[in-house]
Amino acid sequence: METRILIIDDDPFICRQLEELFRAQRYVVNSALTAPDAFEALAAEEYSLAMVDLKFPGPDGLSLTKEMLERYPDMNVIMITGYASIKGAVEAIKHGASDYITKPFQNEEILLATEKVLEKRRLVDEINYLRGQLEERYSFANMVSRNPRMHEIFSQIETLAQSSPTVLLTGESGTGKELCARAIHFQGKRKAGKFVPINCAAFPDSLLESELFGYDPGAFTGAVGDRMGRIEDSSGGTLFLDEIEAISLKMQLKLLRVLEEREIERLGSNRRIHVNMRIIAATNVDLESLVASGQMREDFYYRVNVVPLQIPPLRDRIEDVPLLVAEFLRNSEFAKEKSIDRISNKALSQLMSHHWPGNIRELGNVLERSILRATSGLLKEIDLPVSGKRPPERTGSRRNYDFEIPLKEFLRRCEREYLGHVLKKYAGGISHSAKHALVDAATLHRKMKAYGLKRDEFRSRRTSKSAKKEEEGRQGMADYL
Amino acid sequence: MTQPMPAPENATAPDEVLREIRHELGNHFHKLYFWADLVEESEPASQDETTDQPLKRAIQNMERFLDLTMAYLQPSRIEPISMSTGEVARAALRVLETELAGSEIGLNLGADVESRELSIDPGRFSAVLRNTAQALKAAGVGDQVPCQVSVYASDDSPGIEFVVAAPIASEQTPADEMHTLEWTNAQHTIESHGGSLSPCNTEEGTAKVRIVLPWIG
Repeated sequence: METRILIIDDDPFICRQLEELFRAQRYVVNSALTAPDAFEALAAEEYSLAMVDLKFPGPDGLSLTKEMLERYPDMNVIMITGYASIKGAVEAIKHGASDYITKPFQNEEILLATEKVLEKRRLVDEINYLRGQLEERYSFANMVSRNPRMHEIFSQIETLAQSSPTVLLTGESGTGKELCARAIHFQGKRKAGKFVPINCAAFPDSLLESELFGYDPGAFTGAVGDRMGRIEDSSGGTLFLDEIEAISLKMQLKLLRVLEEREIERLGSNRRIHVNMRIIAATNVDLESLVASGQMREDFYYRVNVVPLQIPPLRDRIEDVPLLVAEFLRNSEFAKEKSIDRISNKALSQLMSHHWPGNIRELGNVLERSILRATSGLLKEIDLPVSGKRPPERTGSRRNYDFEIPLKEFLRRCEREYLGHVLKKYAGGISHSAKHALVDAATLHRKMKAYGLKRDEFRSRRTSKSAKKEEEGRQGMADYL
Repeated sequence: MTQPMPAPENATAPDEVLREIRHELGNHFHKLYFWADLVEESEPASQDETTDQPLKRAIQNMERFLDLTMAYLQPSRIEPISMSTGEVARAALRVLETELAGSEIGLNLGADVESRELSIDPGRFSAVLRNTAQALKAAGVGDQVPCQVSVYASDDSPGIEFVVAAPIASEQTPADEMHTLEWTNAQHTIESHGGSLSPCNTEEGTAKVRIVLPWIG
């Protein structure tokens, strides 16, 4: 990408000198001899750097710099001063300038100052780019995750969005099934149509029928006008049937006909209406057991379960907690009102130790409650429900750093813990552990001996996935934030 | 303020500049002591934010003088670029307009020289023009310094003559009105370009600064 520099000086000689110098360095350069020319140039192109004469006529260089940086905060400014003046330089820096140089200047001096400032800018741009990449990598249609299983789901959603088979989303309550359904709809070719959600458990059987199929006047007592049902409304788009397990056998039969024939009849009417919608169903129960117990029609189950997609519970992707917290703090109106944009390590540890039976929905509620209690820009304490605490065996792998010890001892302990973790992961396997740690087997042996780690101790131990996930999660949040 | 010591008859130009540096440094230090003592001796009750203004100004003037001295003692090399005579003339007009704000300035640019290329360090040349403008301002009458800039092919050498002329108010030449050090630095700059810089008064009652610059090639 080309780097643009704007020279703002009323002296055409200085403009010409700098233009020549920067062009030789392959920068794209423009000059402005007046303030209006400068703002016109800034409005027309994006500049990385402006060189501004401190003694600019009209609005002086300092006022001009201040105004420019208010309008274009990403731009860097180098002030050019007639002669060394500490006061002028301090003022320039106070107004947001990155550096200042004094006239008469040598070309090397200018280039050095410019390179220094642009290098800083490049680093900032790179950080922003990488942050954007991370967001892109970890987020998909309002969902964030660094969990491999979730990424598989994202990829499946992308594929499914391009076709129209019925999808069955399974997963515990609060795992984000509706978000997945919306993603399938809005990423796909049906996004121009409506996404019509309906919670089947929220309606008694008779009401659900009128909600789904609609009715004509006189269909039942009180049906004075006609009303389009949700199925008809979703034609051309997507019908999302949440908590599908709540649908009665009778209603299943009616829906089965819709699924097979793509036709409906409104209540009180015998006119057939063709519909063309995609159906996405969701449930948090095991539908096969309902089929086995006779509570669900087998043919209905197979009609609905064309493409099953299981959303993992939050406890199985605990490494996503930091990302979800960051996303929540970024989007929450409560957090914005209280200017809370960070979370303490202690609070994050609390969140990652929780079992999350209510999944992401519960996480959101907990965060909201905690934000209401918080007083500073940092979320220090988390108000967790006692019932959801993670079982003790899962918390056993939590790290407890002692920062009061000398660095050497700290590093020694970390290395021991690391090796213990790797050996545990590979059940004491030396070659695999050495390969994982990128050291040779002899080095691993030597270190194991130094730290008193014995292979046999790891052979029978079960690998602790939660410790690994927590570590990955912490890293993920650091990257994401 | 003390007057500069008269130069010995056999003094060379560098000797003269060094003598002036010595003399001016003495003057600056004298002013610094004077204003510093005044600030120190003034009654605290009579002190306000303007009390130390003369001292600050004295420090700024000394800073500027030291900059000039350093430029004389350690002249930085010129970094020339190729510019057309027309471009130089129009840029010069703008610099003079800025320096002599409000004064009427005319440009007489020969069509035969407009596109001829010059090798110029723009920053250094601009500094010379600013010094010239200040000297003409000092030699002129009142605030207004109507100038005429003439640019034409030189009769003496392959290059241009760049003449800035303004009516004079005294017998003093522009060089008399300019600090010796500033003038020496300006001359050194133009000589580094392979040209010459000379001030003079004409019989028609104008002060002139004549800059000769060679063509490229």
